[in-house]
Amino acid sequence: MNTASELRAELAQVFAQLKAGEIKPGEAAELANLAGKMIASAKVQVEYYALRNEPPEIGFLKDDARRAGEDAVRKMFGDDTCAS
Amino acid sequence: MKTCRTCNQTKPADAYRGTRSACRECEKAQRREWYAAQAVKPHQRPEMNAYYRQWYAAHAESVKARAVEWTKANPDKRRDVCRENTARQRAKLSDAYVRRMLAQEMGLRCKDVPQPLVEVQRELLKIKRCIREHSI
Repeated sequence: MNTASELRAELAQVFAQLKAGEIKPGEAAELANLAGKMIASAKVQVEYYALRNEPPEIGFLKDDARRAGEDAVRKMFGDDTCAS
Repeated sequence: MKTCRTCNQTKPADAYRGTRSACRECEKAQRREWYAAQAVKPHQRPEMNAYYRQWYAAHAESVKARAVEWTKANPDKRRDVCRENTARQRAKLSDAYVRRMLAQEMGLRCKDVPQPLVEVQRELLKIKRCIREHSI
């Protein structure tokens, strides 16, 4: 789970399982707690960039298409290509 | 007096628009029926959307001024509308509601909250609500 959209998909699955009674509320609460920690860390990063008046460059919050594109460019041209 | 060709009832002349053969009530019913049958409502058509945007761009100031005036004249109604909107947004977990919540927590403006964060937070809130429902 590297991006917010992957986490979202995972949470959507947990929600569906919880609704269907396939997992217990306690188990879902643990997963929600863990997701909450990940979101909280992303929030801190967003706050950091906002305080610095910079556009946020947070890998976790980048959309998958853009991320996949950047990964492909990195593979082709090396690691420093997308670091702007 | 004139007989409506649709409902076959005899009604006074003012129950008709001009020389129409159907009475006002039948015309209204026909219009409603037609409107309900439209999958894409007239105001939702792309060309109308463009027209509305253009119109708003030209009249934005007067619209805003009128809204401010109305708010001053009807503070109670305004409060009720706001409450209704917030309740609806909370129930639906709309983007606006989740974004506002995140912005308040982080002490930022709503526009500074990234969309992916809003979406993932919404899923988390859904789970938390569901857990709360189970535990009650």
